[in-house]
Amino acid sequence: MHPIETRNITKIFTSGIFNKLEVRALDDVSLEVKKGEIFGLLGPNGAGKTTFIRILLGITYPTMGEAFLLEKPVSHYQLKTRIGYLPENHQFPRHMTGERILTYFGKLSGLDNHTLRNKCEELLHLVNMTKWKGVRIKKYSKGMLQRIGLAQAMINDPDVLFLDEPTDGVDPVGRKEIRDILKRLRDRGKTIFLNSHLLSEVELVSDRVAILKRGKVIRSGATTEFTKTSDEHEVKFDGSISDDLLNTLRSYNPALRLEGNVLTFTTADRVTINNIIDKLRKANISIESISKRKGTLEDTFIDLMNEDSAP
Amino acid sequence: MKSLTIILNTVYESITRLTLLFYLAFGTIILLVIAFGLRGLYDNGILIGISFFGNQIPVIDGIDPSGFIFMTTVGGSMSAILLLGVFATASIIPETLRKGTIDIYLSKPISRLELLLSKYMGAISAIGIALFYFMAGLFIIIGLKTGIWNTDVFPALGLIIVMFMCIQSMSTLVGVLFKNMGLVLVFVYLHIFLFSPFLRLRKELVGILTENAIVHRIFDGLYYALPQLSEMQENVSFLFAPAAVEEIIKFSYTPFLYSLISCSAMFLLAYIKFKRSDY
Repeated sequence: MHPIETRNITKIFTSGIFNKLEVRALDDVSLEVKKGEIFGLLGPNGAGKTTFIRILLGITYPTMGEAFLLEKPVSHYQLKTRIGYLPENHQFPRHMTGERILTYFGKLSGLDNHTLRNKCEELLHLVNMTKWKGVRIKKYSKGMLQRIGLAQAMINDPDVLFLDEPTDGVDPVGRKEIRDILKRLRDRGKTIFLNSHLLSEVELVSDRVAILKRGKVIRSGATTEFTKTSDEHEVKFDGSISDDLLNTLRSYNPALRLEGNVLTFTTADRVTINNIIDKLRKANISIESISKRKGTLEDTFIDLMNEDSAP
Repeated sequence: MKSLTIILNTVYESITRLTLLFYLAFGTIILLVIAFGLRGLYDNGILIGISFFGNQIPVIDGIDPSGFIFMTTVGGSMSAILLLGVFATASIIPETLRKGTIDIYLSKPISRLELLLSKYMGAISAIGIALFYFMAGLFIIIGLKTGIWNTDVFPALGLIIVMFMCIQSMSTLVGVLFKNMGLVLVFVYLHIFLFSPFLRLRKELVGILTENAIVHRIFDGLYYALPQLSEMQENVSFLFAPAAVEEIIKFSYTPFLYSLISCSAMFLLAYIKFKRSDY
């Protein structure tokens, strides 16, 4: 069994008089996350990502289906000694300092005082918050709160770490640091479940991803499957292309486009590429670069979102 | 261990929010007034009476005059004690249930019962500390000024804490249901200052409107189902009544017992709702 497993999870929220209004937040979601991998759950707002994490943590109950963490049903609250969680928009008690937050939630995670002391120092250093440890969190910026939140989630050295928008409000340097921390944790065999809107972030760290739309998993797989290199080529050049030359180039590839000083065309045929380059060189056009365009997770995500716009 | 951590943090949180400090400041003002105004009157070393800002209360046939001081001080400041006490602790449950806070608590290896009970105990402890300060202060000041060490102050402290246990159960239930500090204050203040006195006088007041037995039964049911705060308030001050007037104003534990049952039921309802809720 995997550290995270769900079987046919469905969650229906009801509201209104006699609970007549129903919203299907999750619809038959079955996912598995393997030990030692970083798994990214993607989806637009309201797709059900946070609800899914909350069900795994026993914060929300599923209407149907089963969820397991570390081989036990999620209703076993004692298993949370091995779990860490950074919620989206977390609200720590504002009277606490960063260090006190770690101590408080560390104690609630079952750590003894000696372990806590060492762990606090280590984590404050890891998230670059040692200097601010004695300051009340009401004075913290969003990025600092995220750093302390991340340290809080790691205080009990969890086997499974759930992070909901961990880089929200964090500057680019901080994001890189967080990515490095996550990679190091993965290398130590920790399992990381990541929810994020920042697809480029997810792409950089995740081993596998799943995309949720309206509560359903519409695609899942290795991140590399979502970011395959396409056959689209870009040629950047110096100078100008005459209409005659452009027509000649289009005779090799009718879909060829010219935008400013960039020619774009899609082909898998090496002869066509060479013919186009030869014609450009013959016309004394100086070529700056030729590159094959790499598909991004964002492209796939947007394609998938648009694909199913019709019901 | 985890429960103790939450209880201590809840007390600390109350202190840092200043609401508890305000409560302590109020107690300090009353204590200072008594310390400055109260004086023992002696004749050849024997206490013959006490004076409070010039108003003399003589010792008559061995009746303890400090009882009157306690009755008037504790009874008179009871409304303020309740008002400020509720205000100091009303935010504890709604703040715990805020999105982003409850998520972190419930992701820790702690049961929902342990969490709710610990927050409840934390609120009671915060109020308990403030009350102990006030009552112990009264005991010491009156003892030093008059030489009478009235130990009834300690059972009275216990009974006021029982009152707060009832009030906090109500705060917990309303907090779990509505997650809103304003509504907690409205419900609890309405009960303390309106429903409870009304239900106490229900026979007379409802009798004016109707003779219908079913209506009377409904109000009787509400009277026993809800904490009997008015009776408890009155009985705390009766505890200090001198022996000579015990026949007229008689202390009774009954409202405390009924209220404890009622507050247990309210806490249980709050727990059931909390246990079943999605956050």
